[in-house]
Amino acid sequence: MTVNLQLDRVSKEFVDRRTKSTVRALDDINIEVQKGEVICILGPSGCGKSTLLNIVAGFLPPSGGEVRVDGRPVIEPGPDRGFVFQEFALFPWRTVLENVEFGPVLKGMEKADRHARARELIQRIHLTGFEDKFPFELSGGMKQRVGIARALANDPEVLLMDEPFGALDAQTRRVMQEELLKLLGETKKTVLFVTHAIDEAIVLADRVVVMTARPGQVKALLGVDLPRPRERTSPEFNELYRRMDDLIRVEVEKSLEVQDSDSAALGEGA
Amino acid sequence: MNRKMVTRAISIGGLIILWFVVTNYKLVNPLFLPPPKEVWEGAVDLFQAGELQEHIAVSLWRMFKGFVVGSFTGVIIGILMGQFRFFHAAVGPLVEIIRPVPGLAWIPVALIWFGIDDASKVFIISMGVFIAVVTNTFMGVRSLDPVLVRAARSLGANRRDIFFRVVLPGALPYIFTGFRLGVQVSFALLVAAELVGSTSGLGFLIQDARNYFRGDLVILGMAVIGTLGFSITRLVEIAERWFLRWHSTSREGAFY
Repeated sequence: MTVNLQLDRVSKEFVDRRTKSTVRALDDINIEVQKGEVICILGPSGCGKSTLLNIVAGFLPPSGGEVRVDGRPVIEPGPDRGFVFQEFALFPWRTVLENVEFGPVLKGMEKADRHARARELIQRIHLTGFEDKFPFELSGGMKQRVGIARALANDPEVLLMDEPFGALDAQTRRVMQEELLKLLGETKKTVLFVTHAIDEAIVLADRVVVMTARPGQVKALLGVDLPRPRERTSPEFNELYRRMDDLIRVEVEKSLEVQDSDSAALGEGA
Repeated sequence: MNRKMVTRAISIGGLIILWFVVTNYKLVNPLFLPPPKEVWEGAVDLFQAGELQEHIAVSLWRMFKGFVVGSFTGVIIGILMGQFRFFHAAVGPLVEIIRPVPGLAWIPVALIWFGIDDASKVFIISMGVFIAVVTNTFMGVRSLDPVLVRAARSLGANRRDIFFRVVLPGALPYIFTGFRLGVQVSFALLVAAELVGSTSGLGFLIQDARNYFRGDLVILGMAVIGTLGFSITRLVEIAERWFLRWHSTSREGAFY
């Protein structure tokens, strides 16, 4: 196994513009992801898990530490790291086909080649026949399928997914999780997947990173050694669920306390 | 022929019938409002003399030039203002100062600067169109969802790609709103400018006819302006619907 993605002592601080104080969002994050591995980052809201993914993507610079893809440090966004957004972020003026082929167009790929690649991906996400539809004509689940295909069209080293199914209803979510697993089985991509849903993490991940409340740190790293496809009703699944739930619950309570003290501090300031 | 078109035909036809009735039974002084027949005959005379076409062509050509100059500069400056804080800080206040000055207020200045030939009309029209387009373009750029820029960057887009493939198409709905307003503004300004200082064009036709008490030609000029304005606005709307066919709300026809 080779290390594909390295997060080396990554930290992030923000300056609160109103209070001029420094807020520490992420603290000393160390994660090594093997090639082809699916890692889920699980944590309470506000723990900085999306910030972490944005740093890996190159959208945000880390305050300290470094992210490396195949040994190369990340300094800006690039097509070696495909990103899938919670809000889909499809280009509304481009059709399904044009959205999927956006990356290849930027690379200057020949029209025939990029069309062939886009059509193949569209077939794999079961949207054949929808090539010429615009995003406003698609359902949420269809939009995110396009979002995933668009990211895969660049054949990235790593796929970064920021709560990609968070905006979908529960049924669509389950279907999308299954389809993603199938796609990943075919493409063998390395995946960093941010979620706050415990069951989603257990269904998808080889390993789960549980984060603490702010400042976000790695609280636990749990391997999921269940055979696939994973049955949500199996005792092993539920055992793992309970363990993660216990870990998370403490952090959620802590983050609520932090929020309370924040608002109390603001109250005094005013 | 759908219901909307029938309703339109009835409403325009009704106006002409009302006009006919009012003038035919001498309910108003024909000096104030000549009957349709007289206006029609005046139109035919003017057409056969070749004057009507010439006035129309001259006016449309002025409007076209003013519209192109105003909308081109408006789109460029609007995008620069939306993209660069420094540019916005430097140019924004100038636009804000020019905006409340009515287009008509530019007429005296334009006549002093450019005289009474085409340049002054083109200048006046382009000022009005510029303000409409620059404001809307700026809002279009600012309203662009920043997540789309991040998506493009993660797919390998450089600054140039982001400009032409994300910012420009993203601002297009607003830019078209600016164009639509610009067409209306440019008609108003064209005619006003031609009324004041001109020897040709539809505005001149009206002014000239008034001097000779030719009420029929005054009405004719107004009718031609109304028809042209309506047609050109429709053309812009058709173009808009094609270019914005991806825009879910553009199909609802909220502006009709």
